[in-house]
Amino acid sequence: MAKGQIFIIIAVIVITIIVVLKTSLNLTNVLENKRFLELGLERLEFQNLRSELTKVIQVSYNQTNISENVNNFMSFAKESFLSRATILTGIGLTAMFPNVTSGANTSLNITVMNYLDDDISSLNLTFNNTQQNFTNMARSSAFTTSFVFNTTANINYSLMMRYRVPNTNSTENITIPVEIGKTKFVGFFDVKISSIRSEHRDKFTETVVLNVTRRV
Amino acid sequence: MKGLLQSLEAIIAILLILTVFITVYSGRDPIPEFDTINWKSRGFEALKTLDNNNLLRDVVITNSSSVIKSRLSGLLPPQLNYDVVVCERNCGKPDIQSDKLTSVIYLVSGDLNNYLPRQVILYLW
Repeated sequence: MAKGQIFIIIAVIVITIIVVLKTSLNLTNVLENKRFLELGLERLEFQNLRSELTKVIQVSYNQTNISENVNNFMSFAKESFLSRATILTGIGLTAMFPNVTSGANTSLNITVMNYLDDDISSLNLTFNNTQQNFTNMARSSAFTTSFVFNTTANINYSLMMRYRVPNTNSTENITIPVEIGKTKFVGFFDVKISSIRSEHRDKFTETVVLNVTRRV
Repeated sequence: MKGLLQSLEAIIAILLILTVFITVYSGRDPIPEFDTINWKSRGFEALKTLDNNNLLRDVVITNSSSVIKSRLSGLLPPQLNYDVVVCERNCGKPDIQSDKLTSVIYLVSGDLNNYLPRQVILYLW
């Protein structure tokens, strides 16, 4: 075999190795693994948001403005996620009632927070057979209202919230667990984070028994 | 003449290899960078571990970035550079020069009876 032909044979071997290497390196799998890691991190960030939203209620235990703190935290978190190119949207409802006395009228103070992408065109709250209707709730806004209840025993009331954003109607049923002699705060949240990679959404309710001597 | 032919065959061999190499490896996405996403995951987990062990919130509300940094030292790889910034809303950007600078943000709403929302930003490079 001539010396020059050896070069050609070596070239063929090298080419074979290059092609085999390329075939074994599956770029799709590599990209998929990277995406998996990124999604895992986003899931952790969402869990962090969810757990801190719950903690806002817990750390505000002795403060008079739990709903304001929740609203403030939503706005704070929205800005933080925006700095990570992630959009945080959601709706929150907080309900609070003072120490319940058997057979006496008790006020249930409600705050609704709109952190959705759109204005809420109509919103209906139904509690204890009483309805309240609201219209045109702007995005990033909140409003407060109240209902009255009177019970002689522990009872789970149902608070229904129906709202409409363009092309979508949503209904949420929130349980308000009333106990004689207890002051409670109930927070309902439906939050979602969206990035170019994924979306994470969760609905949850947090109920906290507050100090019975506090004013609401 | 024979030497010239051998040189020609060597050149053909080199050209063949180059052509195949360029054809196979050009025009495709580069292999993605894994370092930064791994650092981010480890950084976030490290902050979460501190929080789960009650070693984060007390120092976040006092803005003690240096204490958080020292507490993280045992949880992050020794060859990894990192810095911690605790801030509320307008956090600014650190003066760190690195091609591979990345960061993770951990939200803290407060501690015990204090509502004090803070972002713990862990820069990694």
